Amino acid sequence: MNSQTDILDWLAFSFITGVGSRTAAMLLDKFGSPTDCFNANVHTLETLGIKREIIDQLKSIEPRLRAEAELKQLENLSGTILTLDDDDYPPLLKETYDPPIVLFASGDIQRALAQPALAVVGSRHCSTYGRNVAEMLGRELAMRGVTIVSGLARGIDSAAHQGALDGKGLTLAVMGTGLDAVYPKENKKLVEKIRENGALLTEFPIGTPPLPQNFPFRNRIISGISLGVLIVEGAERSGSLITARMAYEQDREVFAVPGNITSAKSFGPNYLIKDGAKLVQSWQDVVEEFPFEVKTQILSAERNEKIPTQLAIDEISLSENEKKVLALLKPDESLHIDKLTELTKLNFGELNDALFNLEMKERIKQLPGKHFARKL
Amino acid sequence: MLFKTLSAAVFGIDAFVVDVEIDLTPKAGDSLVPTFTMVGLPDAAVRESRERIRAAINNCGFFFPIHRVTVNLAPADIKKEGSSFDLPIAIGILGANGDLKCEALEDTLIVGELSLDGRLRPVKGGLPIAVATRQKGLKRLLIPEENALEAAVVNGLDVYAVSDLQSVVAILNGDTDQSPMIIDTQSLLADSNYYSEDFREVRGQANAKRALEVATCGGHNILLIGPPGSGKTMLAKRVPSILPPLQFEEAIECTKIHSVAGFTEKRGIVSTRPFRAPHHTISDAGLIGGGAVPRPGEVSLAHNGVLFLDELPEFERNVLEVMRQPLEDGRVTISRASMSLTFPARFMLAAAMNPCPCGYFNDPTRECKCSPMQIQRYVSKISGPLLDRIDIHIDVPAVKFAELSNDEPGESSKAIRERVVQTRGIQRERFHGEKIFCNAQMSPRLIRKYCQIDARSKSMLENALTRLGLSARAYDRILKVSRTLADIEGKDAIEPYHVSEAIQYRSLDRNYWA
Repeated sequence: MNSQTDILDWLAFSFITGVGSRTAAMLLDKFGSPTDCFNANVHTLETLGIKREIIDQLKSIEPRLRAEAELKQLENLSGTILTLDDDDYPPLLKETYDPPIVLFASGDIQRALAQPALAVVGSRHCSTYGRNVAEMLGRELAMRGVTIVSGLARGIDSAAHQGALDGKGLTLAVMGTGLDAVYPKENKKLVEKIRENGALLTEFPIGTPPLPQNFPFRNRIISGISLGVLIVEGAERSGSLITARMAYEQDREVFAVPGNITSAKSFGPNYLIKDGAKLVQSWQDVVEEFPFEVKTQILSAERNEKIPTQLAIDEISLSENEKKVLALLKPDESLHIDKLTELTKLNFGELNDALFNLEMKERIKQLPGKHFARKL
Repeated sequence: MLFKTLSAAVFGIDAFVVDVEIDLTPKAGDSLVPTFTMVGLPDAAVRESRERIRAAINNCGFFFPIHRVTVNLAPADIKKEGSSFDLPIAIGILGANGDLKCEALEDTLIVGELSLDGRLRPVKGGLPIAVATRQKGLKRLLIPEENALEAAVVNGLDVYAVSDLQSVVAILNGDTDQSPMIIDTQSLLADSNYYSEDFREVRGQANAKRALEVATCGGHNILLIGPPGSGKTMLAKRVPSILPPLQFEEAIECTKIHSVAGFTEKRGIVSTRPFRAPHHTISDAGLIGGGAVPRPGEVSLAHNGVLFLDELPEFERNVLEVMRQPLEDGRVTISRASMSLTFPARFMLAAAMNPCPCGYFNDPTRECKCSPMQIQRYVSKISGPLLDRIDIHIDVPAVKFAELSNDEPGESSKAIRERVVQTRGIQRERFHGEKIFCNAQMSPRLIRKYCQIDARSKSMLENALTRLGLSARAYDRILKVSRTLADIEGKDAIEPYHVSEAIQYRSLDRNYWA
C-alpha cells in the first residue's frame, strides 16, 4: 500500500516540467519509484543524459511543496488520487502506451471501473437524431451494467451521460480541466449527478482551465480506459475521429452509428464503418464485440430478468390525444407546434396539455423554437 | 399704464395659469434705462420674444409704444419657458397702449407664438392648457388653430381658434362673428380605434397569435423570440388593434402626454392606442423622460398602449434598469433639484429578440454560426428585473415561403378583440374594489386568492419546475397566465390543461439555452 509520502512523491514527480511519459518511464524503470528518483545520485542522473533543468527540479523542494498544496486542495474537494503503481489504477489504461502518472478522481471510481466500460463520443453540434441515439444507447447499455465513459462536452457526450443516468446506470466523465472546474458551465447539474452515479476523472491538477491542447490528452484516457469507443456523430474534421484513431492505436474496438449520407454530421461514423468499424444499430451490436466473459454475463442476465424500466415506459398509458400527437412525432427531425396544431386539429388547450404530459412521461422532448421530437 | 392678460405654462402634463402683467411708463428724455424688461424667471426663448412681438405689432398695423415696457410673468418664482407667451404679452402691450376696446380680460386665457408678420404658430400642451383654463373658472381660450382641435374637447369652455394677431384683437374687441369651436367628442372616438394594421394580414403563426391573444386578455407583458424575418415586429404592431377600445378618459390622458411632447398638432385627440417602438440606441432620458425641464419619455408616450422594444439584448443595461419603476408602479417620477414631476406610464410591454446573435439557433433550414459562449452571453444580457416582469415568452418560427402563400388569411383583429374585451370584463368585475384591472397586475396575495389550483395541477407544476429546469419565480407567473386562460373560456376554476398551456409560455426559463 502506498504511504502518504509515496503519494506525495508520485504527485511531485508528475509536476516536474520537461518529464514526458518516455523520460518518466525510463526513470521509474531505472530507479524504481519516484521517491528513489528524487533521492538518486546527481552523477548517475547526468550519465543517463537527463537534462540539467530536470535534475534541478528533482533536487529542489519545489515539486514537493506544490504537491502538498495540491493534496490539500484535493482533500477540500473530497477528491482522491490514483498513482501508476496503485492497485486501483485502471488496468486497461495502464496497458496503454502513455498512461498518466497520476489521476485525480471524484466520486466512486472503483465502482465505476468494476464494470465493463464503453466510451461514447461525438460532435458538439449534434443533430436531433444524434442526440436521441446517444441517449438511447447510453441508457440501454448503462442499465445492463456497462459504464458509459465520455468527455462531458456539449452535444453527444452530454447526451450519453444523461442517457446513462436515465437508465439508472453508472457513467464516468473524463475532464479536460482540473477537478474544480466545470466545463462547459451549463453542465453543472449534470456533473453533480455523475459524481453520485459514477465518477469524474482527470489527469490535470486543480485549477487547470479548459485549454484546447488538453483535450487530445483527455481523449486518450477516454479510449484507454474503455473496452471500445462508439462514435455517434462527427463531421469530417472532428475530434471524435481523432479519438477513434487513438482507439485503433490502443487496440480497442471501434463502433459507429451510421447516418444519412446527406448529413455532414454523419460523415465521420460512415467513413469509419467503411474503414472497418462495427456498425451499431442497437446495444446488442456493441455487447456482441465485448470479451467473451463480459458478453456472456450481460446476455444471460438479459435472458433471466426482464428489464423493468423498458416495460414500465411502454405501460404508462397514454390518452387518445397523447397517442395522436405522439404518432406524428419522429426521433430524427423535429416538428413545429403550428404544424402539429394543423395536423391534429386539436385546440390549444388540448394540444398543449398532450405535449406537456408526453414530455413529463419522457416520450418526447421540446427543442428551442417550440419544436418537438420523439425520444428513442 | 397697467394691463393684465392671462396665459398658461405647461408643467409635466398639466398646465398652470400665468398672469401676464404689462406696465408702460413714459421714458424720461434721453434716459438710458432699458425700454423692455421682462421679469418672472423667463428663459431665453421667452426673453427673445421681445423682437418677435415688436415686429408683429408693427407689421399688423399697430404701433409699438415708445414707453418703457415692463412685463411680469407671475408667479415670479417659477421658471417660464417656451414661446407661448408671445401672444399674451403682445395683447397686453396693445391693451396697455389703448388699442383694445376693453379695460380688462378677466375671463380669457391667451396662448400663442408669434411670427414676425403677426401670424400665430402652435404651442405645446394645448389640452392641458384648456383643462387648466377651465379649472381656473375662466370662460374663453384663444389658442392657435393647430392646437384648437384638442383644446375644444374640454367641456364648458369657449375655445377660439386664431391664426394671427389681428383676429385675436378682433375677437377681444367683439368686432368679429367668429364663434367658438364645437367638437363632437362622441364622433371623434366613434371612428377612432381604426387601426391600419390587422391580424388578418398575418398568415400562419397560429401558436404565436394564440399567445398574443392570451397576453392581451390578461395584460401580460410578452417576449417574442425568433429569427430575423419571422414576423416579430409585424405581430407586435398589431397588438394595439386587439386591445380593448380606448375609453374617453384614457384618450384624454394620452392626448395630454402627446400634446406636451408636441405630437398632436392638427390631429386633435389621440384616438388609437399608442404604439411606441424606440430604437435600441435610445438613452435612459429618452426612454423614461428627462431634460432640464422634464419631458415625457417613450414609456409615457406609450401610456395606455404598447411599448415595443425590438432587439432587446441590444439595449444598454442602464437603460433597461430605469424601466423598473414604470413597470412596477405604472408611472415615472423624475426628480430635479428644484422639483419632482410624475408622468403616467402604464403600458403593455412587448419585447423581441433573436434566439442567438446570428438569429438562426435551431433553425431547420439555416446553420447557426454562434458558439455556445456567444449564445450564453447574448441571452444573459436580459436576465434580471426586466425578465421578471415578462409573463409570456412566445416562440416565433421562421415562416417558410410555402406557408406564406398557402395559408388562408388569419382571423381579423375585430374578432380577436371581442374575446379580449369579454375576458377583460371578467377581470374588471373580479378586481372591482382592488386597485388593479387585469390578471397580470396581481400581487402574491391576490394570486393566492384567485388562482387556486387542484392537487393534480400543483404536482404537475412542481414536476415541471424540476424536470424542465424552470426557475421558482416562474411559479407565480404561470399561475397568473393560467388564470387568464381559464377566463378566456369563461371558466371559474383553473383546470390542469390551463396550467400545462401556461407552462409552455416559459421558453426562456428552460435549460436548452443555458
